[in-house]
Amino acid sequence: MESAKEFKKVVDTVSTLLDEICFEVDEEGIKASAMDPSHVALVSLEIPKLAFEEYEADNHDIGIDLEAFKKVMNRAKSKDKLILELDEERNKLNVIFENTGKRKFSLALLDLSASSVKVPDIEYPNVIMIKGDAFKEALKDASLFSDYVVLKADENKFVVHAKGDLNENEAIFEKDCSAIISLEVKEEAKSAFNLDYLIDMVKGVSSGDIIKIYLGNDMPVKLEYSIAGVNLTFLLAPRIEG
Amino acid sequence: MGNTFYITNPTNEDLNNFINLYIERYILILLARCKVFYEGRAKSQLEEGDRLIIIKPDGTFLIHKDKKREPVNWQPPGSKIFWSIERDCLILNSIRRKPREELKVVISRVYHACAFKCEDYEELNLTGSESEMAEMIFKNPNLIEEGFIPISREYQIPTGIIDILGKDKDNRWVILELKRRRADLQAISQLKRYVEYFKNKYGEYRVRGILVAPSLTIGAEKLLKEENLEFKKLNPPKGGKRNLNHNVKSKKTAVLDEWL
Repeated sequence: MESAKEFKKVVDTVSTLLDEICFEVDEEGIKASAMDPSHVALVSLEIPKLAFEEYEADNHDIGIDLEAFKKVMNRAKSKDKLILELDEERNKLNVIFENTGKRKFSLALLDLSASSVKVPDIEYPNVIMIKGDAFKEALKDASLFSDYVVLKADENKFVVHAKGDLNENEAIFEKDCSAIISLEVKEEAKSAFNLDYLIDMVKGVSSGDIIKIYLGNDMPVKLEYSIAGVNLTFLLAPRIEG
Repeated sequence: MGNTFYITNPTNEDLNNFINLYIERYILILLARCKVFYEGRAKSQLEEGDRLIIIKPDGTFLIHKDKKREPVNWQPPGSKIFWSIERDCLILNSIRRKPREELKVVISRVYHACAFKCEDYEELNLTGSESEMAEMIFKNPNLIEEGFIPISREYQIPTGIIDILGKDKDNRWVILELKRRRADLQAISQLKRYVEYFKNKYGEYRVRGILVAPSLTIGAEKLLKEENLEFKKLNPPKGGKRNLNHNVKSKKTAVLDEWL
């Protein structure tokens, strides 16, 4: 893969929600999906083989400790290329950074089975495409006063609203503002979500990235974006009146 | 259910049971006569005297004298505690790995021991605790198995406290012992004791014991199989900020299982 540093963002983001993951590898690419231990969040990633400069693989399930993987990826430098190699004999995944030299890290494989959890086929009435950093900043604003946030959409705007005990804040994205790429609203919707999870989910987003948000009423929110050719999908359960 | 338990001038056996029950779960406070040996970045020794010892569930270890503000010896959170009773002395070992430091306390006499279940509505722990695991299970019993009905938390019986007591879809009693880390022999022994108590009360076939933890030691796995107990792999929820208990407002979070 071209940029190890870009891929590091993927691992950083996924490791905020999961401790370990099983990568399902086949000839077409790499997939993985899992729910966090509390079953509130779902992470799914897909790396098609074209995301790699070179790709040669047959069917394997590779279980990885994400804490360890994250530490290794943190060692990636700006110009490093990333090579992932499966050492079947020694039961390890070799993570190699190549630049002026070759730095190789060998991670022991975990005995994990492929996840039975997949992103469900839910029909959403609303799809919002928004500039990544705008949404990220809106979430950070929201975190000043509350630990949960309400996402609202109507045919004219998308709103990120947080209300604390005393203070509140709102980020309003009108349909024609520069942060909104597209706003398809079939039904006015609003749902509340834990801010911590949302902020973790968009951790890997950099400026220039676009996030696709699928929003309904009292439904899980679905977020999609890509980093370094890796397609990430997140699902977060809504907060409901207790 | 109370949140403090204590024993005064205990026998070695009572002390053993008391510590076994509460260590690493509740704050343990010991008023004791002891010697202290410290080895790590330096080496020091404290002669025998009466001390106040505090051991917190996160590994924090404090030894106070009857003067001044600062503890005379301590270990930070994350330190691991080992203990044993040898030749009439209670030996506590608090070990820190980086840098390697060992605090050994040799207690010749425990005047009073107290366990304090310190409820904190602001989650300060950095990793998921057993309490959070229990909440996770109550919110979503299917995490254990389909049809599982959790009934009671911290259920007190003569030989200890059961983390979660419930019933399965065939109406059999189910006892859950939760561990947030790799479970060892001690955990299996605990579960075994509880299951035995229940079997005596309700009859052999009607009680199941399940150890719920991220993993088991090899020894624990062996004993588990020998005793016909079960294991369910479950990781404690990640990250202290994400304490779903922290809902002072009425909104609670749903679980994705509803939509999958």
